[in-house]
Amino acid sequence: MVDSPSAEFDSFVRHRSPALLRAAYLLTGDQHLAEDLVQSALARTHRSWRRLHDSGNAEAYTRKVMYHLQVAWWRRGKVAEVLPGELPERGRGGDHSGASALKLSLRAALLKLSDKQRAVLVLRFFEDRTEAEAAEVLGVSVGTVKSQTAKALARLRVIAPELSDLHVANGAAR
Amino acid sequence: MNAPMDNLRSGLADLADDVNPVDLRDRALRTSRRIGVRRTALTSALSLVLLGSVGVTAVAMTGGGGEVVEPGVTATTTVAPQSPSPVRATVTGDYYFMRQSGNTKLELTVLRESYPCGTPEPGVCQPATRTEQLRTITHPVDDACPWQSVTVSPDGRQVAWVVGADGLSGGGDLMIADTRGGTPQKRGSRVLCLGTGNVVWSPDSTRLYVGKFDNAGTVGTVDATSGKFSPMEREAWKEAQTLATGPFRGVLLDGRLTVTKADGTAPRSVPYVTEHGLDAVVLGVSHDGRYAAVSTEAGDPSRRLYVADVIDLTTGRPVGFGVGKVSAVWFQPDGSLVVRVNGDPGKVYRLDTDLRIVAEFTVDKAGNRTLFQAAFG
Repeated sequence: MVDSPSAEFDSFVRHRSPALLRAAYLLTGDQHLAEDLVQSALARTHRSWRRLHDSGNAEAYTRKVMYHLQVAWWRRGKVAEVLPGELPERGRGGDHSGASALKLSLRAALLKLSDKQRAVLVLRFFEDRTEAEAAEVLGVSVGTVKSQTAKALARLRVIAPELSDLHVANGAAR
Repeated sequence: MNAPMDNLRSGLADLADDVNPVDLRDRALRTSRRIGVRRTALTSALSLVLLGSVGVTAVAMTGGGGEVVEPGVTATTTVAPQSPSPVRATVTGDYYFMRQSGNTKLELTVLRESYPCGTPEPGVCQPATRTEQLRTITHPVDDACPWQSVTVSPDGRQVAWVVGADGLSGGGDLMIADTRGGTPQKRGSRVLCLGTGNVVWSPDSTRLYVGKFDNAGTVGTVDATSGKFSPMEREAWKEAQTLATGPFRGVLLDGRLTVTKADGTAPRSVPYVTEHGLDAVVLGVSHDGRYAAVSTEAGDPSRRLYVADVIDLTTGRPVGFGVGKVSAVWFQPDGSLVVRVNGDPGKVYRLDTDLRIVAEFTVDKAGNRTLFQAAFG
């Protein structure tokens, strides 16, 4: 039995939304903004569903749109950044509160990066994309990905030194 | 020992665990339908307005120097040295700028271009510019709807915008006010502010073409005085809305750019694929149907003012402009164009039908002001 395009799109949304939301959350730092971002990307995918389904490229397209939307929204400054006033003190030891503080610090630090810097970090170190793949998703050159990654890591060291062991060494390019 | 960056990887993965999974299927489908509504409303989306000057010849001017009467946006005018004409027609222009001030205000400014003939000597029309501060729109914190929708009426007296309503992401109340100040009047509710060209004035400045924020995709007109909403059949609405700004409309679909008359007839089509293979929209079509401006920022549900390419339908190729790579284009009824170029946001050029410079304005403080509408009359 062949599913209808509508059913196939429903299935795509059901199965891929959780992963898309995770990346969107890192890009936006907010549950609702992440939902809006994924929703907008999925809507674009739905508009082109027949073509994308035929090419088997739906998820790649959705992710590409998501990253482009995120960069565009932030560039226009239409999305308010909500930042905590002070980064929380990092807890000592490996207890649960320490881990939570670390996450808060990382979230706040990510939001202090530029849109492209945040995007390249998420692509490179969360989605585990190569520099070439990240460049393709963002529609920029590999050199831009390299430079933005280096700047992002350098900025993290400055704005969140308490996260030092999260970025203990320069990222090895793949 | 961890590999380099493994800690960052695990930190990001831990942070991503904080997001709660939600079912986005219905929301995505609703947004998709709204995008469809907006794309049916393809018009000269930069709100070009007709002031009864169709057929007026672009002027060639001599001399220069703009008059500045207000702080804020100031301008100087230079003119094309070529093709001075012994017969000088006067074409005035109004250029509307907006600037976001803080997160609750949108400031409007107009730069007026005119050619007072007989000064300084008989038979000579010297260009003059002056700027006026128009009203400031106050809106809820971080409400993007006013920026998305603000548009000035063809007679220059009224300005309309949508202010976001609680619970609506992409729609809200339609407001109309005098361009110079006064209390805004609510003239509609649940009006869409998504996309580009979402609020379009009728040429006589009495009505606005709008879409409603509902699942049915209702479209119609709003009486600017009474606020009465009159629903229309979609195709008739699309044609009327197009004709409010120009005789042609365009669409990008499946790798082809197609331009038709406002009623959808007489299609002309050329292959066109965006740079990264993402979707885009046609922002405007010239009044002879030859040129179509295609947007940048694929998939963006916000108002688009920037163009990726201007395509010549007779060749299927991007137009090369002598002034540089254009970032914004307004097609005028007389066949002339107003353009801005990449890398120089302070410059506004008027080009004639042969794409030669007729005049250029240097707009001070243009970096944080967005030119959203241009009108000749």
